Amino acid sequence: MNEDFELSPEERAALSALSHEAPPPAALEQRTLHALRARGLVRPPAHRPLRLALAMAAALLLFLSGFAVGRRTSAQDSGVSYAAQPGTPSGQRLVVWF
Amino acid sequence: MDSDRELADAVEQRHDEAAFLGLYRRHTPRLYQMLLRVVEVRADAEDAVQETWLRAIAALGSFRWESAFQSWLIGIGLNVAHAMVRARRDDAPLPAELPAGASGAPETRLDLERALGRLPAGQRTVLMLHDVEGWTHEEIGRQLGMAPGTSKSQLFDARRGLRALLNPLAT
Repeated sequence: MNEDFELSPEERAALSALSHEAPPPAALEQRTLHALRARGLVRPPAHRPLRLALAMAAALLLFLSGFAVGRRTSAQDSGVSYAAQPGTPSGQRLVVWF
Repeated sequence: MDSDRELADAVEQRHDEAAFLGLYRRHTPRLYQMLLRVVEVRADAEDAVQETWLRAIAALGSFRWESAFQSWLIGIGLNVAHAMVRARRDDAPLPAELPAGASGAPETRLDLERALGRLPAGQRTVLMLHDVEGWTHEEIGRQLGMAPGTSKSQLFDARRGLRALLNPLAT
């Protein structure tokens, strides 16, 4: 048995005119995705707005902590070296952090 | 546009869903058309597409990239589809659905699609891969797990059967 049973030019043309692609139903994509997620084969991307909000909250917290520590340190004058400058009005001090 | 390999690596290593969707959207229309011609029922073709992707993504690590990703994917899909056809072989006859999206003169196309649908699934698959998709017997054998000689033999029977169905008086 071999492939010598040749198609006629018309048969060959008809076969090559058959479509190679068909659009799958849109719902099939989500169905397949859910099945892959359920098996742990793909992961949904992290939610970007939530990640951005968390980053902004963390940055704000860091800023406020620094501000609070700065105020407390300047009030206690502890662990700092400062020098009253001649001619500096009372109540104004230069703080130098080491 | 990322290559199949870049997308597949992202899926395999990072389980990247966006990369999977890139592969899915690139290859599913062809896979769906192929499986629809084998199983002939849309719902079954959809099940077969989903099962094909599940198997393919799970087996990405074993793919050696010695053939095109699409050929490998279609090979998996055809094995899934043939298992479906075998499982229902003794069931009631299939509904007369026709694959969607075919081109060409309507009557010729309908006759041809109907005739294809009446060929045994194995012959139909080989004829589609060889005469519609342009695969070689070696590629068909590799992806479907058969000897190239078996593919040639199936093609011979498929072509003869197709001609008999299209021109019953000529044979």
